[in-house]
Amino acid sequence: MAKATLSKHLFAALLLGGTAALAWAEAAPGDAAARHAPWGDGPPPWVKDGQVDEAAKAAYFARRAQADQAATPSAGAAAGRPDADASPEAKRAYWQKRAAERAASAPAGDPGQADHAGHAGHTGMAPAPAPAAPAPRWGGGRDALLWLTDSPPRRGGHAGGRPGGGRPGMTGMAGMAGMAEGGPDAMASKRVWLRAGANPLDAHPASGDETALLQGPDGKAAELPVEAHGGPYNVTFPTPEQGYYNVYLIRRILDQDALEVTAAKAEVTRAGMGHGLSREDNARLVPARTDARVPVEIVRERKDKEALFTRVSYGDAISFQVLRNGKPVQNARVTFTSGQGWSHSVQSDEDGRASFTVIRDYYPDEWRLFDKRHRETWLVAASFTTPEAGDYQGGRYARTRYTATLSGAYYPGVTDYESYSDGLLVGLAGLLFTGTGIYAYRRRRVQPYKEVRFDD
Amino acid sequence: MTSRLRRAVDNVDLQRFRFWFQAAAFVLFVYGGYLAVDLGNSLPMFSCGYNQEGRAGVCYLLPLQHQLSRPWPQLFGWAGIGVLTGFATFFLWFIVLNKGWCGFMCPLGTLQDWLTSLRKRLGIRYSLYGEQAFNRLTWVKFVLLALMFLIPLAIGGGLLSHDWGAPFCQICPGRVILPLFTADPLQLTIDYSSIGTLVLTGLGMFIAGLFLVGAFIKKRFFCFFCPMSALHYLISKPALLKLKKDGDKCTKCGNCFNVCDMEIRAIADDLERKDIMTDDCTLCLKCVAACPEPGALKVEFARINIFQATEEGFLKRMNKGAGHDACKR
Repeated sequence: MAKATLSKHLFAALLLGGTAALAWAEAAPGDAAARHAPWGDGPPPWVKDGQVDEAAKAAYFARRAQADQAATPSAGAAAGRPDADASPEAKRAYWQKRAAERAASAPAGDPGQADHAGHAGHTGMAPAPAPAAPAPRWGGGRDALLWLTDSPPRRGGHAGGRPGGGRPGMTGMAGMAGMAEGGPDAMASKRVWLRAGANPLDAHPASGDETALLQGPDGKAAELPVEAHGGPYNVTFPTPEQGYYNVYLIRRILDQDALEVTAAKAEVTRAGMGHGLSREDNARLVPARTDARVPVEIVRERKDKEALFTRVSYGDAISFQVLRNGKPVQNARVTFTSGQGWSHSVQSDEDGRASFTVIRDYYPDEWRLFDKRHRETWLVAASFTTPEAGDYQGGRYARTRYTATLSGAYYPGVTDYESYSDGLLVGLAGLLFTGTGIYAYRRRRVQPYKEVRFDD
Repeated sequence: MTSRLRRAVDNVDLQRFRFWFQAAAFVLFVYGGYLAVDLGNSLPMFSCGYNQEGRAGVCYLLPLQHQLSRPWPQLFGWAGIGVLTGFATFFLWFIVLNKGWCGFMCPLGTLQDWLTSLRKRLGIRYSLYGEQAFNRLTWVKFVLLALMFLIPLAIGGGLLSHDWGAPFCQICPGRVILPLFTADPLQLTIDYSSIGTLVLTGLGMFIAGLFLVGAFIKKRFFCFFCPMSALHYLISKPALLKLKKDGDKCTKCGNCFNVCDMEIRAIADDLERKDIMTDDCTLCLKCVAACPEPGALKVEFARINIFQATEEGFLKRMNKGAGHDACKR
């Protein structure tokens, strides 16, 4: 009996002790603050001669509130992002500031530059000359291959994935990549980024201040001034209509006795949410276009019956045409590089054409990880040298080296995840199962013949 | 002149008229795309959107499910305008023919009628549900309609993956079968890319098999479960085409019920309702053609009588042996 009472007391003491400890732990910061008042020892500053000065008290707490607000980062800033409810301008300013900070803290030159130069050699590009000018901070070393893409840069490098950076609710749409954020207006604008490096797998964001050239689906040309903020080069442009938007960046660099002309091109799709275009619209919008303002460019030839939602998939043959001032370039070195770095080089034929087969290079570890909307970026680069000589920015050059790039997206093909034989098998099973069931049901309900005789 | 025209219409060989009308509609909606016909994507019947090349328009259920699966902030914001516009277009199409879209226009309905004709020619008897089964199964289409709304909404709310997108289309036999008429076998597959697509495409293929057998032995087998039919019924009040019954003239002979592909008992039993179209009705008008009582059943378009039961018409059709089921059974 006494033992039981002792246990009860012990339990009660433990309960009380625990509660007190918890209460102390919770109250401790406040208590500590009370022990060490922020105004130090002595009476609060709003108490003078034992009298409370209400005005002084209000002013003191207003100052404290301001100081606390300045010292406490917002939830968004603490998470490395702008506040969710900030205006688009504030968000843009935040990212530009972050980019400038990173640019200032990054070592000069592209960390992956040596690799890129090596890769360029491997893919048959002209060997990179020694840099004569300081390299930009954001990749884009003068020997790196420049290309435009509507895939946003990712932290930790590129590893394929879903279009639009995997934003929930926006996946699966080939035309959604590069879609600028921000509500209904987002549907009417796209963004492209500049990358440096011949391998999409480890290419880096690049900086620049060149004006981008835009050609809309209606063929109208426009120029897109780019704000030089020191961060990765990107440009947002309106996409009011469905169709292909061509964006170009032209960079000219004098390299000893050669003029390097690079034309990076992105072909961005704006496809609506409807169910395809009319045949007239398809015939008008889908064919590839060229831009007379661009000295050299690569044109992707359209697939048979291609529409805006048509995807390039593993196993597809894709053809390109290399054009200089609108005319085919023969014997240009054309290199196709897959999203995982596989590359293949060919010479363009007399029509400036080069064809490649898109390889399958997406092998998830487990089948459940397979994503049929997995997007990879291919990169095609064409280069050739001409004996054109001249003066550029006060320097003399004896030859001109042209490089054109074009990137695009490709996805798993239906044969990677769909089966006709299994489909037919299941359909046949449904047919046989139902047919047999009905036959058996009917057989069971057949009344056996019974002769009934009446004895008259 | 008017009376002669009226007589000619009322005496029409409805079966023949309907056969050719359905055949023309089938050609239009399955092959019209080759003639650059495009009637938009809000059609109130199964002009299947998966029939990429040949379709002359798209069944409204496909864009509706896509629209409903948009993220909720969009759906209940600016994108809601698109949903309302689509529905308004669908509604405008629908009110013209009411459920006549099912009985005269729908390619999948026509296909079922053709399978029925094949069965008749082969001399195989048809099946019926029976009253109890009928009353139980008639709710299935409303359940499917509710799921067709709820699943895309759950996708938009992030509760389900996009792999469950357009769920009804994935299990609709029209998706699998109609593209085959333009030599497009792309839908005859099982999609293994996720659990959702695997389940839906597997079900779709199984149901396609079931559809062929079901439509062969049961008239308009699939229409009984069709969520489009349920949607039609829910908005049918203001439709222009109406099936009317005058209970005072009805003798409850049962001809109308006997010829009804959908086994709608109310067409014979209900003497009270003027607007006799039920949720299962396809407005095939066989009941009007089989009715011997003048004016007991009639079809009105915008309150104008366009076709009604007459004794002469009934006798003419019966004597001609036009193949009405009432005679054949």
